[in-house]
Amino acid sequence: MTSTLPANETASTRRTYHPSLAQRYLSWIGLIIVRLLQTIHGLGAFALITMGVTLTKFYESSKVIHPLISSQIHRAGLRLLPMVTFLGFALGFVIIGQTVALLSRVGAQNYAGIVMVTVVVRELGPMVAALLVLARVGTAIVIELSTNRALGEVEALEALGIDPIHYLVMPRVLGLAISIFSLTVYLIIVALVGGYLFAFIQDVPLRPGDYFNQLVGSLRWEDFLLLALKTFSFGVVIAVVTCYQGLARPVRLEDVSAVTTGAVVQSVIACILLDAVFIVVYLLL
Amino acid sequence: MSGPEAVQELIRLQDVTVTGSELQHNMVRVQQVNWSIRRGDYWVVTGAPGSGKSDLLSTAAGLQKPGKGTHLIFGKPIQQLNEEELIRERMKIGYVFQGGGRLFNQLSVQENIGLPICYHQDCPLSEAQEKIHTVLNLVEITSLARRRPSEITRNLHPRISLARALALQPEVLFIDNPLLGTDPNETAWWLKFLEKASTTPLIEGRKLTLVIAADDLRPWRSQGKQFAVIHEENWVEIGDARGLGGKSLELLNRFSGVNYNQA
Repeated sequence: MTSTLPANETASTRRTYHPSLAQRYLSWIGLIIVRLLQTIHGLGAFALITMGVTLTKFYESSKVIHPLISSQIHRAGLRLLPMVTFLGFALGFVIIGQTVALLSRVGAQNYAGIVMVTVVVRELGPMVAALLVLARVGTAIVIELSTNRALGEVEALEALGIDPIHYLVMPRVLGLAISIFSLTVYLIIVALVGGYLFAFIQDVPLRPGDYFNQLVGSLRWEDFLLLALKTFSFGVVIAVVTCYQGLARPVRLEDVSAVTTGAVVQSVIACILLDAVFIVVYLLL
Repeated sequence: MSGPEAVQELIRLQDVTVTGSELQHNMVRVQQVNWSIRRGDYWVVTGAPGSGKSDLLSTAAGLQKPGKGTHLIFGKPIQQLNEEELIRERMKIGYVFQGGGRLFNQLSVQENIGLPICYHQDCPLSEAQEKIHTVLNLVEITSLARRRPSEITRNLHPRISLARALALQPEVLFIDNPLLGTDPNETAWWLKFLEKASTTPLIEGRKLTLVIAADDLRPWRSQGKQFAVIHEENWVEIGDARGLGGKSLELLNRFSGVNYNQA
């Protein structure tokens, strides 16, 4: 390198390091990978701590903690029912409108049930419910917890001998897991009924009994088990990511918006990755 | 240390280095703190704003880990206590935070005070009402019980935080800058209450051991029993009120800009 420098270069100038564009790009990628690994490590540790607290302290201070779980179910479940009803009908209309009508035209309406089960029960139902809860409740969780943290309320809890994971995180994790499971079941039922209503309006030659038989015939026992596992996992993942971002690291008030955006992005990515794992499980079964 | 002396000594810091929070990059705030808090003490710790008083109080109360040194809480080294043991010991320590006391804004005053009681005794709020009203009476804010902190003047927030700290019937009470931003009436109330708390049994038939952090020493000179200053990261113990003269007075004048000779 030094041989290419002009003769009048001083020693101090020669020591100055100017990375090339490719090197800077590689450094940037390296930095992203290190941050990603740090986040995965932090999230993993936080999830394990939360699991430990949930298993060991579920019945401790139950008169304070259990009402908090109920209020989280009310917030992330019951209050979202109108929105889920609307989305369920919309989903049913879209899928039936696009697929069942088409299948009938080619005389393949016997596959309507299979399509509905594959698309709504296995894929869209859980994902739509999870994303709705993330948008309506997950973001609120990050904002309230990071504000609590920034205002020092978490330290105030610790000063009173109250475990913040037990008081703030555990009710949210359980509340979101139960809510997403319940909302998904409700959304699937609404979508299946709504879808058939649309087909009925469109004069698709599909009798209710046939449609119901197709659905029943397409469902396997694994669908119920995996649906429950998937929706609970979505709830746990969204709650852990949002609580971790809001609570686990010291934040200032001005960081709250950035932390919220980061938590939403991470939650979406985590849900998609989890969904991919379940697709593999479905394929293996 | 053994016998009655060990019992009398509630908290001890030996060669402790106090560091700031993670947001402050754990920088050193106070060095070489050798401090013994004994039953019945009434400490007033002063220092310029930003000198590390809050970090020192948090560390002494077991809320922050010391950077270096030995820290004993009720005779037990804090580093050797597990989480549960530490919480059990820390519950004997009340803490009132600076600037509003860090109340939970989504809860009413009585829920703020009842939360630690209900959490530790596993009872609904209705069963904690008697204790809540006892402390509300003690700090004279009974009429505010059902209001949320956001509906109450900030002047009274430290008093609500005091009630919340007293709800767990602590043996030692740390209060960080209680007179910060208070009006003259509120200042008079705090001084009167703390004097009473240090001289008459208020809770469970015992007097409170008090540790106060203050920007200005003047209001406390007549009632504090032990005084200390944080000056340029150093812990300087002045002793009792008689010690507030000579070199200590020079030190106080220098760090605060207040002429304590005339004050």
